[in-house]
Amino acid sequence: MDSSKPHLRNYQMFPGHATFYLKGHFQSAGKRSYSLLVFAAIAVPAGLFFGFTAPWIWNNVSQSLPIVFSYILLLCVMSLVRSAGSDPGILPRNIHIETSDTEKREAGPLNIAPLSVTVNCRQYDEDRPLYLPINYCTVCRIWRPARAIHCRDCDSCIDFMDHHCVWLNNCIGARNYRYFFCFILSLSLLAYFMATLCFLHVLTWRHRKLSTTIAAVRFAPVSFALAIYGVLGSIYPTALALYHIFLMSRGENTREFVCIDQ
Amino acid sequence: MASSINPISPDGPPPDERPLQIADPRWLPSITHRDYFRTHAENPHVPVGSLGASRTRIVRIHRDYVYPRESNTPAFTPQFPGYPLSVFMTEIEFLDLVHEVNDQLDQAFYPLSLGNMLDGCIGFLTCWLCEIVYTSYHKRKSLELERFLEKLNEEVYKARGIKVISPRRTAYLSLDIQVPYPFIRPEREQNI
Repeated sequence: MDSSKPHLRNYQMFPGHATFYLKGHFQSAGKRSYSLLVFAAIAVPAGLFFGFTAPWIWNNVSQSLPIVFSYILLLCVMSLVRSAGSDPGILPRNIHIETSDTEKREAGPLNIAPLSVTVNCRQYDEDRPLYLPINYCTVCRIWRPARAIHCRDCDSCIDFMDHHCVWLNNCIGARNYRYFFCFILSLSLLAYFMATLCFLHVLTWRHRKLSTTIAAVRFAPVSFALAIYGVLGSIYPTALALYHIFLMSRGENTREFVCIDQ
Repeated sequence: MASSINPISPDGPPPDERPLQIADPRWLPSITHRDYFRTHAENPHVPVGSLGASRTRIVRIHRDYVYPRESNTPAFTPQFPGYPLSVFMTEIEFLDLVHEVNDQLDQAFYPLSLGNMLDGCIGFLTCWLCEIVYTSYHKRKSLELERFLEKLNEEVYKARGIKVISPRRTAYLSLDIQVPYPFIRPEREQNI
């Protein structure tokens, strides 16, 4: 973020809906935020894990497993913070002013600028030229690049917008996408790993003490609960991660996949 | 829209000989500036109503979707917009400028280049903490482009009265060239 004047930073003059924290380093769309809920849904089980399961595994099974878990947890939390707080590629306003206010008063019926222009794009096939419509956004007053979309929740045009994520309270666009993908990938890995380690805790105890499963669960109820939570909690992130891998293999956006009629 | 450049030019080999343009019959010129209806526009980079606003206009070089090898890389069309830019710049100089800017942008934004891939991998492995420590390759290259344009403005274009506005200010949406209004070069003004 560069300063436009000596004493003001860009985010202080920002006309869209985004709210900024931490001197402009963390931004969020203006609506009600579920991102703290998401953070709690990750942090609380992780805390319980470190309190109950990790010491047993550290002492009795292997010391490297909790370390790997902490690494994946750090990756997940940092990706969450970055994808919920960083700029998705918000395009600044008023770059391409087509009719200024003074010109509008003098404008006759012939002086209206077009709002959409068709442009050639790179041809892969010699005989079939490809065309793209380039639209003008009247709210942001710019000619939007090919894959940019105006998001109503963020009230800005976002470059290569994927979708507006309600959980993270931020749009996912060009600059954000890697953090988002890393977040859902590491979240699903975290859920699997936590479930595995918690089941390991319960089942290893049962194996070593040659006891029954019920007694093992009674020995480590928190671990068992965390294991169930891990299994259930891995469903949604895994589905998202697989969906995004599929989209990436097609080179598409979420929006393009949903909106294009095949 | 073939540009009418004299191939026997004293400035060196003409830009037409770049292999991408002439030899490849599939390359169609991207857009005509006429499609965008106006050859010059109000300057949004100076405060409204100031002296700068009434004395400068912007010639916009729009984005091009044929030139870059990766669809999300910004690139600007090498089509010369004619008057009023022709007063301040020859077509060859314009093409040199646009091709240089496009090459540097391609270097900065191409996602499969070594620098960008390394940034991504190291960022992933260090849980994105590496970005606190050093500036990414993409940002370094964008800043290099900005410094190149500043230097060009200072050395060459200031004397003619024009200024190329850094694409970082326009979010790489268009290459804006600020020209003085009315469209007269300052050195010619002094002769009057």
